[in-house]
Amino acid sequence: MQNRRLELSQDTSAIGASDRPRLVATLFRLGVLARRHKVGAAALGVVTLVGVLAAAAPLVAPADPLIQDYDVLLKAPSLDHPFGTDRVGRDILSRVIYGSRVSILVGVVAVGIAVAIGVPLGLLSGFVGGVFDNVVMRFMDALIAFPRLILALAIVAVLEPSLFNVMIAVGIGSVPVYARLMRSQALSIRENEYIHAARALGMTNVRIMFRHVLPNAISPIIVQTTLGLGYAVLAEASLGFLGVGVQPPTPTWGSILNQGAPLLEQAWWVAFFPGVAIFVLVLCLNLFGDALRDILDPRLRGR
Amino acid sequence: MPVLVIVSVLTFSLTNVLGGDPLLALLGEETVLEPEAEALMREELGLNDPLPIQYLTWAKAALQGDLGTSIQSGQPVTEALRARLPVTIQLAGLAWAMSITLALPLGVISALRRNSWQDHTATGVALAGVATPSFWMGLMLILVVSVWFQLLPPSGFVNLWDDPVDSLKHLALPAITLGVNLIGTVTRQTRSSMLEVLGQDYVRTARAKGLKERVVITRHAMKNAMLPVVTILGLQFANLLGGTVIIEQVFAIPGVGRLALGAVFAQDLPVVQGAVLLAAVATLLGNLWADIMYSVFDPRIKYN
Repeated sequence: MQNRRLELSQDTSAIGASDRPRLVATLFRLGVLARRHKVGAAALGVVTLVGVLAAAAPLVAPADPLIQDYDVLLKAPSLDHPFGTDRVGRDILSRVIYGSRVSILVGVVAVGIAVAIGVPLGLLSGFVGGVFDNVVMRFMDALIAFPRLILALAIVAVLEPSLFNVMIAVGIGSVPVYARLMRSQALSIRENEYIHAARALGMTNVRIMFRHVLPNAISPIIVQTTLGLGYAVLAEASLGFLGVGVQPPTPTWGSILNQGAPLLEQAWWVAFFPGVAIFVLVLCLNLFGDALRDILDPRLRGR
Repeated sequence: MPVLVIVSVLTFSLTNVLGGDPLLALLGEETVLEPEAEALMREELGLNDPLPIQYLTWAKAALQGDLGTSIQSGQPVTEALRARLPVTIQLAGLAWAMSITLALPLGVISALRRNSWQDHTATGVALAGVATPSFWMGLMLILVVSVWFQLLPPSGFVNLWDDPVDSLKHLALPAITLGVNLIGTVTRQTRSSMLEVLGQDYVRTARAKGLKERVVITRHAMKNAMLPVVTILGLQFANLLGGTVIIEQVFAIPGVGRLALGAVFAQDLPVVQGAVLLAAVATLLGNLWADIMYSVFDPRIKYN
């Protein structure tokens, strides 16, 4: 998604006013990119598929994830229940499909929180410098000193486990990542000549920051956002597994795993499949992030 | 130093500001006190003081090693942490050491034989390592290694000094599980920074003047490629500590992580606070280690 938007913005200047050739050119460019980055394109495909499954969960899930069927307690995977059933006869496949909703929702909102706080802070810090920069960065140093999972655990513990608080807890811990990244970008960009030129033209600082610094720093932020999504999905699942995530009966990948852990010897499938789901989604987000970095930062190609 | 102060302020406010009424936390929701008794307790606990004063009182005590007492057990928090810390250190230390010994060679070989099958395998392993949820991998290892093949015990802990062999048997699976993400991260970083260094002029010069390839790799390339790797190792120390909370839960290991999780469920805020502070201080020590290692690998970096 992100790379399409980026492509579009580049195309506006290159191609004339008519929409049709622009669209064709964009699709063509995307096609070229996809062929050069087969793995990244495939990963994006999988991520999109998970997104579609999550959105269409009521349509695609074979059963209601909450319905308990006492005729099929702890049944091994079969045609009726491809991922098996759990202790109270709920269909694991349906629970995994519904669980993706929480994962994606928490991932997107948590990263959104981190970006919304971290990027402006980093931008101001790097651009303004001085005391403000010093204070913000020491604060970020302190925040990063807390292991993110322990910080999230403590925040959820103090507030109380709920969807909203999990998003906050996962998001807050990631703020320093974006603040530091944005600051380092702003620091190097503000020394460029076009910034001096903009200033000489009488542009205000705010305008320079948003018109010149931010757009030029955006690629590493986009890459980090993709990788951050993978981290957030893992973090949400970890909290769920520890029993302090989104609370039952809502199915989440972490909480299904939590319920499967004590049943490991008799019913491995309860814990197995949600883990595979987490693994695949995080792996594909990382692969897509890597491909995106290759595309946006050609210096790093092949590393 | 200023960082440590902010860390302590954050830890303090986490429970004392976010957490609502500390008296309620101490007594539990059910207890109803006479208004006079409540006022007296508030005065005694210093809860009527302004927050900055409360913080200073708390920080002063913390500096003297007094982190309060556990609401659950009545044990001093410092004591509870000290009893569990060696367990977590052994687990995290083993995982860390294992990650380094596995990931560095993997990354270096990967970079030296770029695009060979060894490189693809190592890169694949590293990618998978980063994306694997550790708790899931732990459960699967227990299932396969302990339940199906019965090679290693599925849970529990034996002190390294009491019985080294038995201890390693108990720690092997947890350490692998804890280290899996770190192995992935460090392998990728090592490969990437080795590739960068191998393209540098001084490596070509070293080769051109006829040095043995082994010397070029170890003395010229690796030494310079280690800086970013050390940074990652220092930074990832925090994640490793975070991971112990999960791993100790999966493998029933009585360490700080398990203590902290239990405290979270029991709303035992002084213990949560103490564990969070301990984790943050340990992370800062990890970063300090990275800073010291910089000057080992690059003597040009000096600290006053």
